[in-house]
Formats: sequence, C-alpha cells, structure tokens
Amino acid sequence: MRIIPKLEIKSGYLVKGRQLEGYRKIGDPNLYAERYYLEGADEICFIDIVASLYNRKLICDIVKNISTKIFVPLSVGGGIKSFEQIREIFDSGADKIHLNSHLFTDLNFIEKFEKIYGGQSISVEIQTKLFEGNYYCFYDRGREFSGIKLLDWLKKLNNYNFGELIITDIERDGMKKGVNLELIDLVKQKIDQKNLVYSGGFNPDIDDILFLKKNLDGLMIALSLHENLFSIKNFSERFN
Amino acid sequence: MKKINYIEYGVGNFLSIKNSLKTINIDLNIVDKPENFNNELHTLLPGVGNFDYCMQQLAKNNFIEFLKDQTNFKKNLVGICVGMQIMFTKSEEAKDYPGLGIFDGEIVNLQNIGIKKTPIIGWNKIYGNFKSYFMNKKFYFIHSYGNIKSKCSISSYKKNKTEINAIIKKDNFIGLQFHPEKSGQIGIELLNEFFK
Repeated sequence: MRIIPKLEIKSGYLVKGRQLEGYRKIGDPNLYAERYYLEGADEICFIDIVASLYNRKLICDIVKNISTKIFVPLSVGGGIKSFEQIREIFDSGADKIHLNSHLFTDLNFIEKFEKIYGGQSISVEIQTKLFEGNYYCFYDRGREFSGIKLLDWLKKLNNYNFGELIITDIERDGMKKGVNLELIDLVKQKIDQKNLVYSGGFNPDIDDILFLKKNLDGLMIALSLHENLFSIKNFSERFN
Repeated sequence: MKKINYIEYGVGNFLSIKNSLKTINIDLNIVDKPENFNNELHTLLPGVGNFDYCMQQLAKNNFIEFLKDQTNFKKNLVGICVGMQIMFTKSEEAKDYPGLGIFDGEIVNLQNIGIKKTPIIGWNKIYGNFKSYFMNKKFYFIHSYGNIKSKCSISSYKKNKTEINAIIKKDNFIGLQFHPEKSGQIGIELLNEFFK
C-alpha cells in the first residue's frame, strides 16, 4: 500500500479543513513535501482547493519547484477540466492528474485523456457521503450534490480505463476518526480490478495499518502527517 | 556539465528527467530531429502513455529509421517505460505500429499473464544479474503492459508469481520498465551508472 501525503493548497499555502470545509493555514507546502519525501512517502499529492486561474498558477509553481528536489511521483487535483490545464500541470513536473467534478458534465473526458496520455496517469476521485441511507457522489470539494448514488457511479466508471480510483469520505476528512472500513468494503465489492486509494480520517491510533495494507493500494494522509502523529518511514512501500 | 542526448518527440516527462539528472550534473542535449543528435553522447529515449501514440510521434519527427539503425549509437541508448517497450519487436497494445526491433520479443498485456489489477502501480524490488548494488532495491513501476520472456533480461521483479522484466540490456542498448527519475535516490544512482 502506497502512503500518499495529501497537501491541500490555497493561495500558495498548505491548508487543512474539516469535512472539506473551513480550511486553515498550516504552512509552506514546499517544506512539508520535502519532509514527507525524505521520510519515505511513496508519492505526493497536491490539491488545489480553490481552482481559480490564479491559484492554478501558484500550484504549478509549487510543483515545478518541488520537482527539482523530490523524486517520487507527484499528482495534482482540483477543478481540472481542460487539456490546456492538463498540459500545464504535466509540464510542471506532475505525473498524475485527479479528475472528479468535470466528469459529471463529461464522463467521456476520461477516454479522450487516455488516448493522449494513457490511462495510467488518470486518478478518478469520488467524494462521497451518506444521505438517507445511501452513499451519494459530491463534487466541487464536497459542496455540490450530484444526485448520483455511489454504486451507480462506480458501475459507469467501470467501463473506463484509468489508473486508480480515489475514494474520499467527506465526513471523515480532517476529523481523525479513523478510516471508513464499510465504505472501502462497499467499493471493493463493486470495483475489484482497479487500484483503490482511500482518503479521509486516517488516525494511526485507531486504524490497523496492516489490515488496510491488505485492502488498499494507496492511503492518503493529511492531518495525521501535518500534526506529526504518524511516521511514514515504517510503513511506506519505498522504505519497507 | 556533462551532457546526454534526450530524444524529444512530444512524449514523456521532460522536466522530471531533466531535474533528476541535474542532481548528478548531467545536462540534456535536446534532440528534436535526428540532425541534432551527437553520437559522442549517451542517449535517453523517454516514453509515457500509449505505444501507438509514441510510435506515431516518433514517425512524425522522422525518428523511426534513425533509431532502428543501431550503428548510430556508439554510446548507451537507454529507453524508459514506454520508451523501453517501443525498443521491442511488437506490442499487444499496438494496433498500428510495430516496435523498433532493437530487442527481440513482445510486449504483452499484463492481464493476460496473471496480473489481475492493472496498471501495476508502486514500488517493487528488482532481482537479477546486474550490479549487486542495485539488486534487491525498490524502484517505482507504473505499467499495464510489459515483457516477460526475453533473452536480454538482466533484471526482473515478481508480481502475483509472474516474473516481469525490469531491466533489459543488449550491448549498449538498455531498457528500464520502471521510472528511475521517480524512484528516489537509488533511481538517480542507476541513471548515473548508465550515463557515466
């Protein structure tokens, strides 16, 4: 299981929120990324939480700077919807792109992307939470309700070729309540031929990391790392 | 600063490769057409994505005949990922193009040889008959197609009991299935080994 530090970026700063809201400033993303790299991170993920033109330039500059010092895969997500943006992000030294919101208007974007860059560099993200007893998909950092049930969306996504699926539990994000095992199990049953990455709520004091290793291909961690509660080096694929 | 040829054909993660080589004082001679090639230097052939797309881009830039003629290369030619795969005879991924035929053998869909989940993404230990310093070390792989039985294999890795080639070498022609430029310090050291 790859250990993937997740760095959410706003106005050039590393930030962290709770349940994808109320982001507060943490520090300089360059310093955090470099520290996680040296500690053994298997890859590093950057999320543009504002997704404005100005912020995208900032995130590209951060990735460009970091790619001179960090030699593991870098992925970038947040509001990506055009090939012009994708070119700009790849040219900054990124290796993978996350897609979510735009897929609700154009699901075939995955196919167009795949023909140029190959499916391996696409990570499809799903932001989900329970609503009246069912998991539903959300977008725009969990702000918008798609009205589509998670299981229906997974069925559709199964027809496409992409590198991995990132499942984000909105209600656990930034809460350190432990990962949502029920959600992981549900997704695995529907999509067992895709690489699965989970994001939301990891807490080393609550979660059984050996169990997670058996069930996930990747684990994204933000707050538990930023707050120094978890040491990557004993658990990363790269160092173990 | 020392230089190597970098075959620029609109495919590949140029910046990552440039940055990783810079840490070992290697600069790139950008070869965007065969005329800019310097045969006194080692050469890197990048590649990301789809086999046909890479071959199509090589064709567009008049590189195919040039790369097929092995006498053009006095120093090492190192292919990375799909850059390595196109050095083979053919690929199951390709509908339109054969490969460059530098290595005998075929690139196959990993799902047809016992790999359930593709692409394989992650860090794997490589084994084999190459410099012991690099053996049993982990490198970063991301691929859905690969080569399994090649006479030229000098190193491989294991996934679900299947042995997949990691390093191919025939004389001064070298192919790396993993991404050394994304494999931390050990990856950079391996690049240094082939470009010294």
